[in-house]
Amino acid sequence: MLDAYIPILAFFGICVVFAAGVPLLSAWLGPRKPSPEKSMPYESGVVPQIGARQRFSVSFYVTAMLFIIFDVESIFLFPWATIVRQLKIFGFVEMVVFIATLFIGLVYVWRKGAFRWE
Amino acid sequence: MMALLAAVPTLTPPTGSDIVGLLPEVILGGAFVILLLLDLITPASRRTWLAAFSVVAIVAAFGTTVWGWFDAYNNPHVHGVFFGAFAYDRFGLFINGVLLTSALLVVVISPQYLNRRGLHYGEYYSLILAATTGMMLLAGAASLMVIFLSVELLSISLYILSGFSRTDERSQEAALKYLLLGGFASAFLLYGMALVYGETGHTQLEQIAIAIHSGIATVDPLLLIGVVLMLVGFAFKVSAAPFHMWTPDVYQGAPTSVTAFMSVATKVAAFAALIRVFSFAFPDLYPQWQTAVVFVCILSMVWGNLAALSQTSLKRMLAYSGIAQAGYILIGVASSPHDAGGTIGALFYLAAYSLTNLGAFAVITIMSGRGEDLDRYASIRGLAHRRPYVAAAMALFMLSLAGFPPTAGFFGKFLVFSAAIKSGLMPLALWGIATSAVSIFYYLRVVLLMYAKPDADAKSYEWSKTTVSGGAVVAFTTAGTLVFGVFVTLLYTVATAAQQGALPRL
Amino acid sequence: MILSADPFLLAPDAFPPLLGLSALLFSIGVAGVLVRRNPLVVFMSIELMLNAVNLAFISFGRFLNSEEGQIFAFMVIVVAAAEVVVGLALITQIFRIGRRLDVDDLNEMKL
Repeated sequence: MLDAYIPILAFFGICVVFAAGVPLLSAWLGPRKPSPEKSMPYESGVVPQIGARQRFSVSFYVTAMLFIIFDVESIFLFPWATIVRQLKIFGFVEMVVFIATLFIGLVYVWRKGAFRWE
Repeated sequence: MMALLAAVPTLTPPTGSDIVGLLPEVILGGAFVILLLLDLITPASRRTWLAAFSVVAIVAAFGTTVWGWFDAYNNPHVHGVFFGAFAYDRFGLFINGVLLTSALLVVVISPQYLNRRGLHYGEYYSLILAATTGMMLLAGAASLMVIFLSVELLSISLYILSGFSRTDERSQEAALKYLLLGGFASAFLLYGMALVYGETGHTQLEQIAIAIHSGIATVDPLLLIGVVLMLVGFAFKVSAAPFHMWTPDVYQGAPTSVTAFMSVATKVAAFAALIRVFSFAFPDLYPQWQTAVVFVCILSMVWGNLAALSQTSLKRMLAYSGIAQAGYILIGVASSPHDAGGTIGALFYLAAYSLTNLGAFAVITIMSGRGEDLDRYASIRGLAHRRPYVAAAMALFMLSLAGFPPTAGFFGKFLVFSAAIKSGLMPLALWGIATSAVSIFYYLRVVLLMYAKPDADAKSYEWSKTTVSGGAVVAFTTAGTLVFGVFVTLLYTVATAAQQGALPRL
Repeated sequence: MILSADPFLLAPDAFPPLLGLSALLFSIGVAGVLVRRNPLVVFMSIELMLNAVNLAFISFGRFLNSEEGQIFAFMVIVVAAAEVVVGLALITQIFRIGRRLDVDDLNEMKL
C-alpha cells in the first residue's frame, strides 16, 4: 500500500536536493567581483534615481482602491457570460441594471475628482 | 463536464409579483443611486433639497410598505419571492415600517445638526438611504446569501457614516474600530453560514428548516458550531454582550445623528434577521441554541446596566443602555419557539425602543453646540430651566427606557417578561426585573440633573436653538412613546399580525 | 452523500482535509486579529478569515454537487473588496490627520 508513495517521496527528495544544491554550487563555483554598479537595485536596466524606501503619494492608494472595486465587480460577468443564452432577455436586463449602477458610481467618482492627479 | 452543464436548472424569470414584494427596497435603493447623481449637480447651499428628496423617497417606500401589508395578507406567498430568497410577509413589512420611520426622523433632524457641525455633504443622505435599504433587505431576507449581502450593505454604509466627520480624530477612530470589529464579526457569521450550508445542503431558510426538520441533515457538532457562529455574528450586530466592545466608542465618536440612526435601526434589522433565522428556520434546534441565547441575554443585561452606571457622557450611557436593552429583547427571542408572545414581545419592544431611543438621541442632536456635541452630563445640568419642553421630553424618554408605565417601554418589558414566564424561563424574567431596577438609577440621574439648579459659576453652554424640524421630531417621538404606552393594543395587534405572517413556515 | 460519475466532483476522502485547512486558516486569522496591532495586518487577518470561509463554501459546494457554494464565494470576494477599500480610505485619512497607526493608540475615548 505504502509502496505506491515511494516515487512521490523520491520526487520530494530530488526537489530538495536540487533546490538546495544549485544555490550552494553557485556560491561555491561562481566568481565574485563586487562593484558599486552590481550592488545597485536592478530596475530593468534603468539607473535608479532615488532610494526605494520612501513614502508613496496618497494618490496611488486612491487609484488602487478604485481599481480594486471596479476590477472585482467584473467577476460577476464571467458566470453570467457562460449562460447568457439560457437567461434570455431577463439576464440581459439584469446585467444592464448592474452595469448601469456601476457606471453611475464611476460618474460620481469622476465628477468628485478622484482621478485627478495633483 | 456534460453532467455539470445539465445540472443548470431551467430558469424562470421573476414575475411582476416578485418585484412587487421588493417594491419598498427597490424604491429606496433607486433613490440612493439617483441621490448620488443629484449630489453632483446640487450647489452646496442647496443641500437641504437632498434631504427633502430623501424624505420623499422614504415616504414613498413607506406608502408601498403599508400597501404591501394588506397585499401580503390577501395573497400569502407561502414560499417567498425571488425563488424563495426573500420573504414578502407581514413580519418583514412591520420591521420595514419601523426602519423607515427611524430613517425619516433622522433625515429630518440631520440638516441643522450637520450644518452646525460643518459636515453637510450630500453623501450623507445617500448613505442613510443605502443603509436603510440594506436593513430592509435584511428584515425580509430568507436566504443566507441575502442575509450576508444586506448585512454588509448596511454595515459598510454605517462604517463610512461613523467616520463622516473627516477631520475629527474621534470620528475616524470610531469608524476604523467599527470596521475592524465589524469585519471580524462578519467572518464569524459567514463561517457559521458555510457550516450550516455544508450540513444542510441549502442556503435558503425554508429548505434549511425542512432539511433539519425531516432529519436529512443530522444534528451533529458541525451544524451546532455553525449555528453558534451565526449567533456570534448577529450578537455583534445587535451589540449584545460579550460582543459589544465596539458599541460605546463608536456611539460616542460618530456624529450624533448617525449614532441616533444606527443605535436604533441596526438593532431593529439585525433582531429581525435573528428572529427569522433562529425562531422560524431553526426551531428544531431550539434545545441547543436556547442555552447560548440565554447566556448572551443575561450577560448583556448585567454588563450593560452595570457599566451604564458609571458613565459621564450621555452618548456612552445610551450605548451601554442599548446593550442592556438588547438583552431584554433577547428574552423575547429566547422564549419565542415556545410561546408566540416571545416574538410579539420582541417586535413590540423593538418598535417602542426605536421611538424612545431615537427621541433621546434627537434631543442630544438638536442641543449640539457649534462644532462639538454637548453630551457630557455637566452640559445638561439645569436644562429644564432654560428649555422646559425639551427637558420634559428627555425625561419621558428616560422613564420609557427604564420601563415606567404608562410609556411604551413599560409594555415592551412587560410582554417579554410574561412570555419568558409562560415558556418556563422564570430565571430570565427575574434577571430582567432585577437589572431593570438597577437601570432606574442611571436613567433618573439624567432627569435629576436636568431639573437641578444650575450652579451660579457654571460655564454656560451654547445649546442650539430648537428649530421647527428638530421640535417636530422630538414631539413625534414623545407622542409615539405615550400613545403606544396608553393605547397598547394598537401596536400589539400589528405585532401579532406580523408574528403570524412570518415566513418560513413548516 | 450524492455520488456521481462526474470527474470534477471531489472524492469523499478529499473533503475532510479541505475543511481542516479551512478551519486552520480561519483560526490563524482569528489569532492574527487578536494579537497583531497594526490595522493593516489586522485587515489581512480578516481577509484570511474570509478566504477560509470561501474555501469552506467551495469545497462544500463541490462535495454536495450544488452551485450555491461557489456563488456564495463570489459574493464574499466582492464584499471583502468593498470592505477593504473603505478600510484603506479610513486608514489613509487617519494617517493624514496625524496619528500613528497602532490599534492600541486608538484610545482617544477611553475614560
